[in-house]
Amino acid sequence: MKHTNASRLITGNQTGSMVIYIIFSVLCHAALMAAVITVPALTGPKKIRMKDVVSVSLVSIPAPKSESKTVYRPPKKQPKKKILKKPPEKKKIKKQDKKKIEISTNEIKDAISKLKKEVDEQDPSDLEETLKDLKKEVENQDQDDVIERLKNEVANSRKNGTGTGVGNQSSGGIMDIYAAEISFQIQDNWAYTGEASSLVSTLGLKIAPNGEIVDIWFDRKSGNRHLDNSAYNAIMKSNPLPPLPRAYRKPFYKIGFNFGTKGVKK
Amino acid sequence: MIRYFIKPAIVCTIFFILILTHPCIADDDNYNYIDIDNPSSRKIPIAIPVFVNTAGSAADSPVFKQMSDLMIESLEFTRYFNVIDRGAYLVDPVNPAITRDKVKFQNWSTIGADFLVTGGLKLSGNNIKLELRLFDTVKGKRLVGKGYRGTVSDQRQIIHRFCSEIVRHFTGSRGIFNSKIAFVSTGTGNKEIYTCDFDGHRPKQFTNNKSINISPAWSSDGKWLAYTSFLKRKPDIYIKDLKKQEKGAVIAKKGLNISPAWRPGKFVLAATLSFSGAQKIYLLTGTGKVIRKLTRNWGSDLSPTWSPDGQKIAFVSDRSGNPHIYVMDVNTGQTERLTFHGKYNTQPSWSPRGDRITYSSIEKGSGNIYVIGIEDQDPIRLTDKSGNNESPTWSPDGSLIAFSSTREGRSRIFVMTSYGTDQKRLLALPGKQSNPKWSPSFTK
Repeated sequence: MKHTNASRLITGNQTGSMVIYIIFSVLCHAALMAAVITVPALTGPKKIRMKDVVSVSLVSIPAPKSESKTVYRPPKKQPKKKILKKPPEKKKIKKQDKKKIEISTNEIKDAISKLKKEVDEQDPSDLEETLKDLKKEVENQDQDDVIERLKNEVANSRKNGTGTGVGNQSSGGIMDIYAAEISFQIQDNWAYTGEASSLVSTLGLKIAPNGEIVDIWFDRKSGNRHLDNSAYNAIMKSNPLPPLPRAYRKPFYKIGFNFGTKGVKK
Repeated sequence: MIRYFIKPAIVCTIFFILILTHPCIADDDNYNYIDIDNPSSRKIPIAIPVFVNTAGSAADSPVFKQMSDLMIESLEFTRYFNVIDRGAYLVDPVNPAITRDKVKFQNWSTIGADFLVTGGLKLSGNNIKLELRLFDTVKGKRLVGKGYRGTVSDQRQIIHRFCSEIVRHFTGSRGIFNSKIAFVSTGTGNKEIYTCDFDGHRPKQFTNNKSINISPAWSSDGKWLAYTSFLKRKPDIYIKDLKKQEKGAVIAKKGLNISPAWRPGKFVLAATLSFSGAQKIYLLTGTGKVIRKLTRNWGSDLSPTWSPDGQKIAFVSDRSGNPHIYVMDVNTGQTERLTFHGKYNTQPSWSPRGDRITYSSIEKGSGNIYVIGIEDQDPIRLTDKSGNNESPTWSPDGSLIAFSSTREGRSRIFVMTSYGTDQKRLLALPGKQSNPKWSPSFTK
């Protein structure tokens, strides 16, 4: 009898516990749904939303060639080419320091053209031989050594906080190249008539896997309406951008651009 | 009781953390920034289709095309715009839409036109009623919209007014559309002073005394033109009222009276006079009275040009042995040498923006145009291997420089950007043209 009562007691306790679990679970689900709906809107950056994202098939207009190639500039101090630097002060609180991408668009362009040349010049038979050699090398290599080396590289990049520069976003190296590629495309679409100045217009954008710009916003306006508009138009004229690399697993890719005029000829 | 909640609380917290950090939900606010420090083009891509007849019928009069072509020509002259060829337009060229609700902006942005100007013209006899609109094709937004009435003969004025609005939208300045250029031409066999519109149109002879007339100088309000003339077989300065075409004062002191330059905002000018012996720069009233002597050092001083605030002059002096450019504060007399390169730097002209001076420098027998920053004093050559280039003068907005050049054989007037690109001939008249001087922007 005692045993039966004890069993009932245990059963009663378990039932009560289950009820609490269920109530808690329902509450949590409700809270989760509310959080999912409201949190991004509360925490997200203040964005200037586009009305429509216009899909444009770009027709590249060749830049007008200067009639005069007679401009001679005596040697002077070259302004330092900052390809990537820390983001400007923003109202948004950044959780992590941004990492710098150490590749300039010009360097990328040069590298791509050099690679193209090399590939064009290469004999296909040479390529086959190279591939065979590589296969042999890989087979001969001690796998443990390779894994150890890779581990060290990853550990060092994390320790130094530099890496290849896609911040907290995964697929660093590939995304660096992607970032350089789209920055080149956007620069190519940037037309601005103003003089050189220290003004900077900073925009952020969100790119879908198919390369479509799904959101664009000003992180900081320059104070010059024309500069801001020209920067905005440069990005929108570049839409759609190339698709995100397959190795990039996230649903969107975010990146910012600082449009400055330091490089403009005086 | 509380202990019953501990387990579920832990489970739910872990659940929350897992869910909220899932990449599909987490709104990743951390992203990198790339610096783009140089636009690929310094020209704004714009489309300007032929104006539409708003009276309903076909645009059969040549005025529709004339006026829209004039707008293309005027905007291209500024060097701010790259007008996209009409052959690339993806719209019905006969009857394109002109209002925001009808324009298909994607058709324009697709061909690379960031901006679009549409015109709706109603012609009744000689009268014109013109609606002009500037659109941002990327945003699908109207930026400027104006209506004008006038006659066919007013078309230049109407188009230039709207061009001013466009340029003001992009640069904050109204540009050069209300300015003129004075220059010397030998078309009549004598060196006479002429004036023309900023784009070389409507040249008009200003002096007609069959003598040698040089160095025209506009007053900052555009009312007066001073120049040097050898009418009495020696160089004297003549001041003429531009509107009334009346003779004003004549500065005809003993010796040379040359290189007049009006002080901004005042009826006062600086000029080189030699009545006391050496060529020195004096401050004079518009009526020709000497206010005071400005330069006192050894050597000859000439070709003054005023800073836009009227507090300083730049001038040429050979006090160091060779002609070089110097800058002097007219209030304190403090003088500094600006140029140190070369051996012959002359004809300075101070930028209306105040930050730079353009001048000509003779090297190996031919002249070239330079600009030099007042602060950095870094000379930049703008012309090279293109004949003899002289007499640079700034446009009133400081974006362009006019100068004379013998690159085509005879001396002609050319215009280029202030950084040396887009060097194009302004006009070609009989004889030689030289010594250009750009006017301020006229208010009307």
